[in-house]
Amino acid sequence: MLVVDDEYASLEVMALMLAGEGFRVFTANDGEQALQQLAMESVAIVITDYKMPKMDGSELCRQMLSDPRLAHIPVIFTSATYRQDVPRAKNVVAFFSKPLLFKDVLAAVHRILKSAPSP
Amino acid sequence: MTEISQTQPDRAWLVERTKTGISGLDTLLQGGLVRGAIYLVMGRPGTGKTTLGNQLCFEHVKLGGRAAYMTLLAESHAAMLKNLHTMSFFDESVINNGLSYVGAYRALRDEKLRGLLDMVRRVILDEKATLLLIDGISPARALAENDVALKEFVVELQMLSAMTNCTTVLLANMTAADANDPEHTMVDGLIELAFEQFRRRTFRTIEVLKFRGTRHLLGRHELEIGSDGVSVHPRLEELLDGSITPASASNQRLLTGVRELDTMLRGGVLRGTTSVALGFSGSGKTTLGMHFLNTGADAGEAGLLFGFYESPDRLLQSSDRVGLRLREHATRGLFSHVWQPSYQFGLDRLGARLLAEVERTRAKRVVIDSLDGFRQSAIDPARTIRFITALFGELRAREITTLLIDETLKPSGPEMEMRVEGISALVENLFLLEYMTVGPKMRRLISIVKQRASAHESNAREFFLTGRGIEVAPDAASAAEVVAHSDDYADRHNDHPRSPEGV
Repeated sequence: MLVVDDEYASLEVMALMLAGEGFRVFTANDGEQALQQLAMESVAIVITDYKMPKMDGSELCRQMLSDPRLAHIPVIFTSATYRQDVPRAKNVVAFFSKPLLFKDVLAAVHRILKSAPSP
Repeated sequence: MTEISQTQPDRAWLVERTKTGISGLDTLLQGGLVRGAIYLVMGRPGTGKTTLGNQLCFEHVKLGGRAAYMTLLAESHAAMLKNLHTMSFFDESVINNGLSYVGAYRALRDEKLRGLLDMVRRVILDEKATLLLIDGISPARALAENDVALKEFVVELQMLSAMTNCTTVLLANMTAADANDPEHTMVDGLIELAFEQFRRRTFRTIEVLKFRGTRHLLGRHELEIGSDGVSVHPRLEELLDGSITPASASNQRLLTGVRELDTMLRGGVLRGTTSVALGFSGSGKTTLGMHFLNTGADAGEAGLLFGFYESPDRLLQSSDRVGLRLREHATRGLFSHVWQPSYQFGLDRLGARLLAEVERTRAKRVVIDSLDGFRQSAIDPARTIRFITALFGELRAREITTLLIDETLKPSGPEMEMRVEGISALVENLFLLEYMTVGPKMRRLISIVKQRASAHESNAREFFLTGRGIEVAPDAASAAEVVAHSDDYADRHNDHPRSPEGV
């Protein structure tokens, strides 16, 4: 599981909560760092914020789609701006506006993992 | 790939309130705490933090939620519960069945703030808590590497509360003077409990210093700890915003029960107005109040005497002596007497008590004996006038006709100056009851100083306290004689001579 967010508390607490549920969690502060992590670690899901410095969540999704090694990874998109027009790439499977409830995210994670094709 | 799912279409839950269930506190908070927000309740030892914290938990469970009470370095759970078990909110059956007590100091000591945060996460999720109390945040401060680390912890705690929609309350032994501490700046709400002293009496107070994103009542309010635990008495003038107005101003006149006074008033006072009877001790003010309530009850109108001095027994004896039927009216539910020493309650508890009694007894006439009782109950004397303004406004809005008794410092003279500055502007009618010395005799005069928007007799009249109560002379002749021959009058009115024909 890779959690990407430039906001300290969002990142730390989401990572803490997911780790508490037994997931192996990596973290990154922006899209660039996320791509570096993805180059090193294999993850089942990326949970990313939209607005971030250097590389935002939208660009991260686009870059992942353009990389055959990452294109299959489902992305959960989060954003503090509650807008319908947040760019949605093909790999985005769920969207949550912040503040988000962990139980909703966890339910989405389980749903995604359940529906994911076996490797 | 899974279809994209948009969640949380409705954001109303962001400011969803969770009622505290504590009397007066939900009024102060205009509905309760915000779900998923984090609050800091601070105060010196003894101000009521632990009682409030526990009561919040018990009430939360009673209202259908689940709560966890987490302690760091505080008194043992057993000792704390022992102290609480006499309070009415305490319910042993919910402990470990909706309310859990958790010690978290070890996690903090061994794994510092990260360990504590993870403990909080586990407790919230394992207990399915919708309210979390963390009692004694000071050890977390002490074990934080620095202020930044503590800020990080509080922000993470805030995020954890929001993400789990669990309202979190921190209890801290600190005051608003420590306003630069990280906890103060990072939390969603700040509530301070304090002591206030006035005339060697100590009152507990509560003040909401910060409440993000939602309305609340400003200022300091009285907090009481009794057998029911904590209750809050919001300041009346904040609570009653004057938004209630009577359907229409009534033109109906109500008799005071003193026949010639009613003649002087051209038929009595208007319904829903407030009158003041101003006079020296023993001048007959309380007797006038008894007439007023007795006459109302004779006509089937319930009346309430809200008093500070005369006990119910003594008052009924006085009523019997002058032939009034308050004792009989009391048995029929048409007369009630609420009596309390003035030093026992603060202003707002008195105000709440008065309004509750008016509601309970369905009183249409109220006598307050006297204004001095409110003055002596005020922590801040300058507040009395604002309080009285709000109280009278509320009584008027309920179309209740009120007689307020106020004592002058001198037995006679044009003492129009009320001891509460400006109170005469707040009432529609003002009656002056004076003593005057004529030779060896003390004689009494009554005059109507003001009756707003209504004609009235301008002459003063002599009155007598007899076996039938107050009896007013049929005309102003004897009053003119009193004024003409009174030594007091000559002494006191050299600068402002008054016509014996009027006031």
